[in-house]
Amino acid sequence: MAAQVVPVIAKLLEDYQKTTSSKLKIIDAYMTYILFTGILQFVYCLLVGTFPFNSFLSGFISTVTSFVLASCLRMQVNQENRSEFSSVSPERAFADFIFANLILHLVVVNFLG
Amino acid sequence: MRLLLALGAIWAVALAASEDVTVNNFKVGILAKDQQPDAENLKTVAIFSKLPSGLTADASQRLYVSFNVVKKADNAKVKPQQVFLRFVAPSGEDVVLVVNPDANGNYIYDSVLRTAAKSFRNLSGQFKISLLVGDVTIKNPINWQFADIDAALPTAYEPTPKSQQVRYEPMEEITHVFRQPEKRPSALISDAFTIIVLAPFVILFVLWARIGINFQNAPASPFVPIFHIGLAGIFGLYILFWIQFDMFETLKYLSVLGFLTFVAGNRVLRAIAEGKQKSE
Amino acid sequence: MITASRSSQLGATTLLTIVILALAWFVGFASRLFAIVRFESIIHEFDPWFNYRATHHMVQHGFYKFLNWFDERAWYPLGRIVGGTVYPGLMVTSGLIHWILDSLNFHVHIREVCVFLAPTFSGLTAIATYLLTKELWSPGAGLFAACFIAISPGYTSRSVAGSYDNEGIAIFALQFTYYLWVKSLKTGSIMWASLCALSYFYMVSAWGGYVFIINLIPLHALALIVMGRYSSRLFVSYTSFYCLATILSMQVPFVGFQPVRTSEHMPAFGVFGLLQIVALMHYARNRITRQQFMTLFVGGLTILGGLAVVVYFALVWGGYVAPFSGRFYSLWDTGYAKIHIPIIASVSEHQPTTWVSFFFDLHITAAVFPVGLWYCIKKVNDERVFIILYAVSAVYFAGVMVRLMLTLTPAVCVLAGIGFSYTFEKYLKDEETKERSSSQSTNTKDEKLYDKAAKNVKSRNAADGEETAVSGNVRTVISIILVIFLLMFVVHATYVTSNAYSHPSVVLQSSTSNGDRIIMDDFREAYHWLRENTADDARIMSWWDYGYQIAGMANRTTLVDNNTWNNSHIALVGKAMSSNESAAYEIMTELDVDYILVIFGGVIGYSGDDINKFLWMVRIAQGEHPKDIREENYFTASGEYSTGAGASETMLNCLMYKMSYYRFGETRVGYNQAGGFDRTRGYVIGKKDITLEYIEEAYTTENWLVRIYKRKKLPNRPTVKEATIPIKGKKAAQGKNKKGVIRTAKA
Repeated sequence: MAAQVVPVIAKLLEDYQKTTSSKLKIIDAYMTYILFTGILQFVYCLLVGTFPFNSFLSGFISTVTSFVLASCLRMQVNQENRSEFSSVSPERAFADFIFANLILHLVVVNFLG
Repeated sequence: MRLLLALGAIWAVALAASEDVTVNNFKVGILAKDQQPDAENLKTVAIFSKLPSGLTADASQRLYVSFNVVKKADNAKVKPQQVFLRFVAPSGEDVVLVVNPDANGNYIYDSVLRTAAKSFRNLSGQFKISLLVGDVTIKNPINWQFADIDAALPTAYEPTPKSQQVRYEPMEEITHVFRQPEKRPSALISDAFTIIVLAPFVILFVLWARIGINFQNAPASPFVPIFHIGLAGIFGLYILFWIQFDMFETLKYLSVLGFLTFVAGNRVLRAIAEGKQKSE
Repeated sequence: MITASRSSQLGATTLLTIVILALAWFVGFASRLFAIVRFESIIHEFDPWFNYRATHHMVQHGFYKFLNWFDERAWYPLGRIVGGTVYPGLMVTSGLIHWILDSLNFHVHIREVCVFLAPTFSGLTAIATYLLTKELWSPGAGLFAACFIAISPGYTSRSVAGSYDNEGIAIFALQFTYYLWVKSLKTGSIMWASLCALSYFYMVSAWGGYVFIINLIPLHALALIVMGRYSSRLFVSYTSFYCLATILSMQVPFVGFQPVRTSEHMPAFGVFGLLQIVALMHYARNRITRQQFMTLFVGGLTILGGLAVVVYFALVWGGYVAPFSGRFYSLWDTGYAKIHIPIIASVSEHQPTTWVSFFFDLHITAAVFPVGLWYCIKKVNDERVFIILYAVSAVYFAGVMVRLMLTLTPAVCVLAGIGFSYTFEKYLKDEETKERSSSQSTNTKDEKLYDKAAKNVKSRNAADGEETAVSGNVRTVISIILVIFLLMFVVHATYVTSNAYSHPSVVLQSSTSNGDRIIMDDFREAYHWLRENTADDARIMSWWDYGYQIAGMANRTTLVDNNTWNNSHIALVGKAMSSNESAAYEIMTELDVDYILVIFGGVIGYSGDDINKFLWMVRIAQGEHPKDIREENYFTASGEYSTGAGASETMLNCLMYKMSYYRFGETRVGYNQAGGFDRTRGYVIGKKDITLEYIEEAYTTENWLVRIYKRKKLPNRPTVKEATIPIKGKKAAQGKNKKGVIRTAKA
């Protein structure tokens, strides 16, 4: 099983470097950053605890949501998915992304306590 | 005035009718449940003397006391207003029972102790029994301790209902126990983690630098800086909201800032989209 | 030329749409005003009184003070943290409207805002329904649905003027959230999803029924995945909706951490995780071979799925995630509540629904909505899957609980709208193609007329006949029949609204033999008496149904109220009501009760009184105090529940019986009837000479509907019972009893 999985992942990575446009790579970089932040937050929760639970949650959900929103943006901007998002131009997608982020962070700050 | 008259009248009556009384035929004894009182099991006690040996009784036995109250002058029976048996426990607490005359004017107290126990409020053991006789018309009220009794009474019975208990002492103070706050990590650890969590921010810039980020696409328009300042302003507002503002203030400022940013962003992005279409 | 005519036609359609929606709003608003016309502008029933009181408090003290409000006048001696145990959406909404009106210099009392809030929102619901149906099917169907929901009795029942309750605004929020969800799914836009989350937030802040949304939307997503209809749009709309919705819903204090802590919210999270995996698979599928894909897909999914289940149970076991609550189980097993949570089962609106009430509340739409459902199944697409799931689940829930009929009504209206619209499109359309585009407006014209009074019936039918004469008789007949159905629906809706749902239940109405209406205002009479004649801090004990009203109208402290959060406290009150007088006195002394209030309908034949609810008090009390209270002690020898001749000794001696029937034996309904005839239950009561030892009658209203008793204070000294003392001249103090006198002071 593992022997099969490793080459698959390797192939995926290689494929990625070749076919992805730089615009998407920027988004991917942003997502990587968020992913690391999220992992570190999770490590913190495992090691130290979640005591001010609302603060922890707001931080963690903020990361998760940012990641998800970025991946949504990535899907909408991606030329491969053009057919599915006929009504959403890349600029519109970016505006939506900002709108959602503004809502998110307003709530996060409110929840931070 | 009327009160004075009434008082005077009572005084007059009391003086006129007041007389000395005494108790005779005084018999006391402990009987089994269905034993008839007779000379053997009752002991006669002369007034103001005390029964030499104490009485002992358990709950199933009866306490029997009979006597007459008579005038000293002509030995006629009287029915004073107050005729009581008083039981005094060593602790000083006492129980007072009413003794009622029968049709012939003889006073008889005859009761199974188990039924009398209700009046004893959980008291049991050694009691001193006295007879109390008194009335407004009696010159020499009697308080005569005539015997000691060792009564083994059932102590477990229904307590007085809580609503009838009288408390004079203050109630115990209720101290509120607040929930203990959970242990927070020390400042060192949380600061360290703050830095660690912020560290991937560097990764972001490193990666962006490697990919090559550029702003050349931005159209030359006054709305571009407005848009970016607006965004920065909104996030600045959020920080202020975190620190000091309340929700309503924030929403007020946000509506202004948000409107500006929306208009500017709309223009900028439309310009970009149009530029792209043209180039295509 | 063509474009000009098209645009003018578009303008006409838009105008018609707006006019019809406005009319629907107006009709919906107007038909909810029966209660005000008949009675007065007053808050209805029970819960609305609390909402009104809370709104009043918020308007007076401000929002933040409201969130921190600790109400020491409820649940004496515990008190209630109102801010943290209330859905504030309703209060905020009316507070906001009040504030806007105030800043426009319309100075309206907050009570008026509260009274008219629900009818106003019914119009918004109609619009939201229109939008939803438009997304699902067509604008014509949307107009039908909007008009249906505006007057549908199932929805009117909770939104008449004065019925100031959460459901009034929550149905609007529900429909609007669904509309935005469908919209975001169709476009795949983050913005619509964010708006959907905001609307969901409003719903969460308004009503506990939000759990329905947060389970239905994931169900829809799951169904789409299973049906192989996954698309990136689904991923975008669901994930962004879920993330934003979760954190938004946690802003409501009453909800708090529930979205991450309770099982009810876990399916949504599970679907979120599943979507991530599916999206990853889709991303990977284009880049690797089929065989590799299957390896990844099957292997990864089974491992992760198994892991998720294990983690879930571990979390439940470890206490991090609460297992499903009793209310949840009672939805699947209708007998569950009666055994485990009698307090839920005791509420009449939690009983299973009868078939009659389906027809009563939905009328023709109940019959037509399967047609709409069938059309949706036949022409299924992504968003129609949603309405199918919505309808099916709502039908189930409405069958379990009468109360949930409310969530069914919108679905039924949407589907009935689709059914009617589709049928009319078939049968009203002219053969000639040039008229095709006007079919929509024909429908809508019809619709407009349905809302008007019946006087237009004849001319309308005649017009219909003319129009479709060319298309054959069958079409004419069917159209006419359908129109008649619709008219009957209007008549039925008006009738039901007027007769069944427009009673404030604070004021009662009956009619004399010659048809005059009599208004019985006993409730307010009693509450007013309490307000004027009792100490400001007097504690009133009553069954929990009346807690909110006492707090709202009499402004006195209550022991239990309709916010039934503390079962044992309610059980204690139930125990006091069902014990004999001396035992009840002990409980009442412990609880510092000053007055006891009972509702008694035996004089006027009001069936919702405390004697009829009494069995539930006994059951609830038995649940907590099984040693002292046994339900079977309250039945007659033949096992019936009765207060008549055969009533058991326990029944005749309990506080509730005594308080209800005290002095009742003296009353006489007619000349030839015995005294003490209970009109509600239709028999003469079991014991007429009732004496009260520990309480005394304080007030009884005109029709005996509300009876208030006062708990006697501790007597100065214990007394020998009067009856046992023979009065003999001046030596009256000597009695025959040998019980004796207790002196408590130490000698």
